[in-house]
Amino acid sequence: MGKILHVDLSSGTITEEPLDMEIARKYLGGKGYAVYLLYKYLKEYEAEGISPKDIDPLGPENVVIFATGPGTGIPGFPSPGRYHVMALRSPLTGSIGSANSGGEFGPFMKFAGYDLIVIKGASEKPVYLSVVNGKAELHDASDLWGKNVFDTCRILKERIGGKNTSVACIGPAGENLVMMACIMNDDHRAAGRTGLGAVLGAKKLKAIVVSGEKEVPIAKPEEYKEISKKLLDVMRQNAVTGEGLPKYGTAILVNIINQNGLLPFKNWQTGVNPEADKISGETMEKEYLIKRRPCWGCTIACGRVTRVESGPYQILYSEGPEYESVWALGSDTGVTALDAVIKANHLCDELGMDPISLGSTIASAMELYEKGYIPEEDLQGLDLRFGNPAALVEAVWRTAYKTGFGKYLALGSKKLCERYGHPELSMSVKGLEMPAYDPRGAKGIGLNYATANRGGCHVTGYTISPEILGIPEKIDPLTPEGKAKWVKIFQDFTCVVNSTVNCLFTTFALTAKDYAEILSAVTGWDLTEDEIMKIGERIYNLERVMVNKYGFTGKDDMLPDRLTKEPMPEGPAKGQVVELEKMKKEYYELRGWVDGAPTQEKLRELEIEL
Amino acid sequence: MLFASLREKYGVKEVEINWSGGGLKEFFLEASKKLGSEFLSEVFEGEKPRDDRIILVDGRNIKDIRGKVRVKPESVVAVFPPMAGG
Repeated sequence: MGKILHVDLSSGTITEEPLDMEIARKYLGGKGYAVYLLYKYLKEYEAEGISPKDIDPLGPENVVIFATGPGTGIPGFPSPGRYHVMALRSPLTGSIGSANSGGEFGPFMKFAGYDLIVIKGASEKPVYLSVVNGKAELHDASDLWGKNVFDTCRILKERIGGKNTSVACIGPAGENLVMMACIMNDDHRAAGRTGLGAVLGAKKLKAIVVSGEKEVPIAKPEEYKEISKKLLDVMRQNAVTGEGLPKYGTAILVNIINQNGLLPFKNWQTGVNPEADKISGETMEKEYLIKRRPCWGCTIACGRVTRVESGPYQILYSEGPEYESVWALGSDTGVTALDAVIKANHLCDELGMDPISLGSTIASAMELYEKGYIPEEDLQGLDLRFGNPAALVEAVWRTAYKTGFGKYLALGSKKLCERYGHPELSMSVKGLEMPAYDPRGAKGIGLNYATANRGGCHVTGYTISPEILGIPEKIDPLTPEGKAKWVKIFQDFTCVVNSTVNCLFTTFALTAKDYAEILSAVTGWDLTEDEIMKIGERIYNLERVMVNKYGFTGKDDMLPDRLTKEPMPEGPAKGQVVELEKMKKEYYELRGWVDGAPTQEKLRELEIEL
Repeated sequence: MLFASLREKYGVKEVEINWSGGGLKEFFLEASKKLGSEFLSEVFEGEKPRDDRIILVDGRNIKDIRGKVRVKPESVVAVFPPMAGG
């Protein structure tokens, strides 16, 4: 029987409760169970007369949940080394907060004795939480406040000792309430998006350290063993999960996305980067890669360990950068020096910031500056032109410490561009900066960006997979026809993965049927493919109910005008715009939504009790 | 243009082909003269392009092109092994 830990930072009280297995059957675990709990909190606040729209993302009433699922931490489960973090509200977007990370923290949290850790309230002074073999305590963190991520992880691992010890923490960016601050774990792993580092910073929760040796039970061990072997064989023999990703990591996407004409360049002014190869996975593998590094228990091992031997951007040990970081800090800013991109990414890890949101914000500032919209005195000497690697690296640490122009970068691109009178230059949806695929070259990902509950997000429904990569089958990226169906399926299935809490990359090789089979063996439930897809749809819809309560409606399921009104100027997608309204209409019909909100009929069908 | 493991295997990022226009298989036959005879089996299986290769002609995936694929004299053909990311 799993357990939930409740920590109230205002009162300092710590309690626990068992997992409700009826709820787990409906919502699985991980993100799903967290969404269910968060909705309960929202209802309690409403009963107390607090409107969801008035919940301050940086206030004590915000609730953060660290969540694992039935697959996390089980040896032999496909890529089981992840955890998911949810919050009532994101300070960057005002919508729901949601992020996912790899490394060791997820499994070790389970070994420490808890499936979910719920944090509410706020401490007056900096604290950290330790969870060691079922025992949870709050400690004074005044000696850690101000320390970077690497020092914090090292100190706490040494202090706690023990087996299976992992640290999730914030860096200076989170302490300084930078809007794109993130939660880091195991030095270089990030629960990156939606600014959850700032939420912990406002709560003065510096870190959570977990350690333990509790076993994770399996309901049908013999059946599990057989299915695990079968699925791991499938993953090993798959060309992507067994060869491509292990050898080249995610940055291998740079060239293929560019050749298809949808690699956003210089704040999305075009989708073709003439020097993309300089920041590609191939170049990284040849010039900077030391070795691979897997998350706990993962056979794909797509993580990169890199080294920049010498020069102004020297880094003797780093991890990453991933495709998204390479794009945001490289192509989007016009920087072609991969060593500078590696350094900037390293600083994001050290200081605790989301490189996607940060890179995109810097890129929007570069366009504002080049067009003369930012007065020189605001920049305080920072030469923020496209392609300037030194300015890129400087902008990273200035943002973390909110110093000089960094205090404006720290707002995120939406507020930054509003400040300088040009909100249209923020390439974001619901305030969350979009990742590395220009939807004028792949219409489905555009619909997904517009309708993702947490804002401009690619992994919510990664239709790049069929549109560009041909997985599970190839569909034409340039047509809007039929995209709504694909977006819905991917969004619902991703909820299943984030509630199982294992890695999304397993879905390049495994199907919903595979997930139903292995989850049945772990849980003892008789799950079918249809049932788990319905669970995914249920989670997505309950999350959307919350998003609606924060005031988001159909008009917020939008894309920047650059993508819907400015034709792509060059490349294979030349002349294309995103026909969003057409796709949205079809999507809402499929979803059973009106104006971006689920109907009562849809909620009844999904057995969501409001 | 070659990418990822194909770039490593053949030791080149790109080759220029003397080409006056024609079909895809004929184009790759011509490319084989520079890259080696086994290159054709890298991209074609019998008369059909290999399903486990991503082949772009001027940035369009051949699976999205209706009708017969034509390679013009100035076309850029890009070949990728299976790949993915996030």
